[in-house]
Amino acid sequence: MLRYLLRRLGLLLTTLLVLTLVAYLLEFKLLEDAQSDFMTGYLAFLQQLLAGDFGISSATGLPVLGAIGQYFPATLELCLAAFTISLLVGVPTGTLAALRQGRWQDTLILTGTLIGYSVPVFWLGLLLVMFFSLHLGWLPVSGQLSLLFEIEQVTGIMTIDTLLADSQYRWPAFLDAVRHLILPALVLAIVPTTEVIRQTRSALLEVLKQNYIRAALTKGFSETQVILRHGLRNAFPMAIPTLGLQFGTVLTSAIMTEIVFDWPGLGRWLVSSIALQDYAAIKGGTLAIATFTIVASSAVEVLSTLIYPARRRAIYVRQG
Amino acid sequence: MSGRANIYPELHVRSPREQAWELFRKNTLGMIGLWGLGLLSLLTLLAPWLAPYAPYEQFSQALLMPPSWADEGNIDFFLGTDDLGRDMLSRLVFGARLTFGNAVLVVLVALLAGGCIGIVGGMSKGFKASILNHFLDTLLSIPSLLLAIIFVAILGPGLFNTLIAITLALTPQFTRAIYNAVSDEMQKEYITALRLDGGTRWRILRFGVLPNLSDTIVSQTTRGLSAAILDITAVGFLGLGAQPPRPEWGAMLSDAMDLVYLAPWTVTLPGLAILLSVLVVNMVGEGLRQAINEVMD
Repeated sequence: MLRYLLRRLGLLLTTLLVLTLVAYLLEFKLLEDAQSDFMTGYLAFLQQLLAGDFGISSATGLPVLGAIGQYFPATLELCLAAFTISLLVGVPTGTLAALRQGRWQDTLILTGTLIGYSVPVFWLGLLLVMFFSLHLGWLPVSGQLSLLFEIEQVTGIMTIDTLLADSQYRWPAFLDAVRHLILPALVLAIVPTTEVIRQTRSALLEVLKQNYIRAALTKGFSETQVILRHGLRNAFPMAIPTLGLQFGTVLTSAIMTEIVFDWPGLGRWLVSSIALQDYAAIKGGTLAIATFTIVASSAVEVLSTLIYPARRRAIYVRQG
Repeated sequence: MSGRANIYPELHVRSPREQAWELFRKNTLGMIGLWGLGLLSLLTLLAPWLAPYAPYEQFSQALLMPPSWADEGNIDFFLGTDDLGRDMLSRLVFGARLTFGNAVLVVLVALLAGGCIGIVGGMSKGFKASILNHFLDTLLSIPSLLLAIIFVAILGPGLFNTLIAITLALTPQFTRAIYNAVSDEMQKEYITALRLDGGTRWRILRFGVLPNLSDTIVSQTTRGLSAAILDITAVGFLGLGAQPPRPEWGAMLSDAMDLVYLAPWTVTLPGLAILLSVLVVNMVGEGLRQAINEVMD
């Protein structure tokens, strides 16, 4: 087990190192004159990064690290909301599809995932804004909170901050934050939801073929009991690592979603930095997003290996 | 086997490819997708002859005209016009070249580059293969769109740079898929037999490995193509790809974002074009994967 963890950690560190190399190339290209040679420059750059020095943004004149800290929570809030939605919707739908395999419900769900998988995120966002915000006027068009509320930033996650706020308008502010969150979170949830549906379906189909399912059914347990206790429980370990890979996709879709909804997150900041040619910010932003992606997906993989004995055994077998 | 008389009273065993094609033809969604893909390719190739107007031609008497089925619409501009009086239909048809055509190009280049690296890596063992493995895992853990955005940030905005960036971002996926397929193939017994027969590496590759790669190539190509279309339009939408007057679908969308309320069709139509083209590619890919899997079982 220790060997596995060390290997994983080694891989993670190599990955991050390659990332810093890419980021350094970005800077190297910027300093065309390049007074020092490549290697020493790179080492100095690494030292800077380790000391938490991400440079100064040329657009605002403030440290980049501070900006990342300021924008990151909003992105995190959006991504977490999207993930929650995708699990809440995806797992039951995927289970239904697996149970009705080959029948019309299954076909309908699979066709739905095919469409959900093909739809451009930014366009879907615009359509929903057109319909729910402009046409029906139910939900706000953009932003994180109505300008009428003044909420002090504590965590940066607006739904939490509004609850923490010490004001008589705490409750309306919270509801307003939630109303702002609904559309972007729904849009962002589309892609992971289709993935959750597909993974749950295929994993559950695999599990339902097993003998212990048949045994449980012959024992006289109801179908629901068998699915919940034996089916889904054994399907999750198969599905979770691939879902961990979805972090990256969600985070990149979040960039598009933030642009459409004018959500004050990392993605919008990154794209505007690219437009402003603010290289320190681009470097810091891409490093932050990529690091978060890689760490999150490794963490999911390691956790699922730690929790589920069957996967642990698979590693030992592979190592031989 | 028509036309040729079967003089041997033997059962004709159909090749896996024929079986897969038979299965695919029975898949309604897949066939619809295939027809759609064919139409889209025709549209891309014949754009100048099919489009009623030039993509940049402005009709100052017909600004923001709604599509022809609306009350104020005009049949001269079937899908309406945008805020500069340019015909939407013509722009969308020419946009198929910029979006779909470029996506095909990008995927072909990525397939070629990724395929070569994958084959070389898959046929070698030990240290070289291990380095490739880890490097690919690194690159693959970053989603292709983010990778493309990073590359565009380095190279600078523009359509050509976007295409390079997306090629670079897609190549690891192709390399990974082909690498896995080749190294799986290398474990098989008939390859060992070829090697024991004294076959050179080239011979093993030509007769043992390559004929069995087509499934991987087909499914990875469709997957890559849909990713390429989405990435090109996404980068275009962010304003980092094709620049506004060009009718690239993503750029058209971001250009029309201010018109959402005034002229919804300028936003819906380019998005619909993107959705439909990605959808037909995915439908074909899904159908092919199902057919190939069934034959394999």
